[in-house]
Amino acid sequence: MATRGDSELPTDLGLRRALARIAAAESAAQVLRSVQTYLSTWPRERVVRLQLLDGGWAPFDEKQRPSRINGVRDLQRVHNAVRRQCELLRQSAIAPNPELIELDEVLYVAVQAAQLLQARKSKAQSEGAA
Amino acid sequence: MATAVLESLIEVDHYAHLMARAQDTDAVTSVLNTYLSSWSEERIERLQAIDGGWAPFDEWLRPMPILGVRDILFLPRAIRDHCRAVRAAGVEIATELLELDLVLFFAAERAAGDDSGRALAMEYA
Repeated sequence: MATRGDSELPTDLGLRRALARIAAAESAAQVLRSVQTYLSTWPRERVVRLQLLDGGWAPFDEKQRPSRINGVRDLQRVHNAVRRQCELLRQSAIAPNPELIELDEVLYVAVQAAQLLQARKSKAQSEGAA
Repeated sequence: MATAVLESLIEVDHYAHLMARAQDTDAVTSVLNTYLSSWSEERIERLQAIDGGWAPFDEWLRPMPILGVRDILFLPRAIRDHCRAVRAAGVEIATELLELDLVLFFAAERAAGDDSGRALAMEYA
């Protein structure tokens, strides 16, 4: 039942694990922790490649360390910036590299999951208060 | 070139976008049926090796129709419970199951936010 194929790249495994953690999250806070964990698994050389095209928007500092993401709004802000950068590159006929595409997609799924879980919690609280 | 997991993630992105734009549960149902019909037989076979029988595909590898809000709310719970069991057994969740889990989660949350889904969502809670 193990699912890792012989041909699976280490980055694929890391990505799948990150998604599994986001999918298993039951609160926005858990989604944020999953994202932070995912960012912390990026090896320095991948961050260096990412930073070639990220326009300074990816959540890593100049020493290739992950930046802290402070809440769902911050996560959305980071994702919006990364997606906009991908769009700008495409408009300039430059293909975003795999690192940037991966980050964009993971952040997108994380934002969606975090927002939906946050909305669910708010709804449950307002229904509980009613 | 995108890897298999990244391709899966791009699919999730595409269908989550469509669901976010869906006006009502009928539209979510339609997006979900379109999504399921996009699965290749090869992917369904890989999914069925680990889905515990919960994924909405039959033994001929055809998608089972999602008929409405009740299905949209029930299916994700079944898949998510199965994923929990797989995880608890210490097994990595396959990409296909992970993708289905995420798309169904987005569909269910979208439908639960709709008037017709809200009451049912509370019933299932």
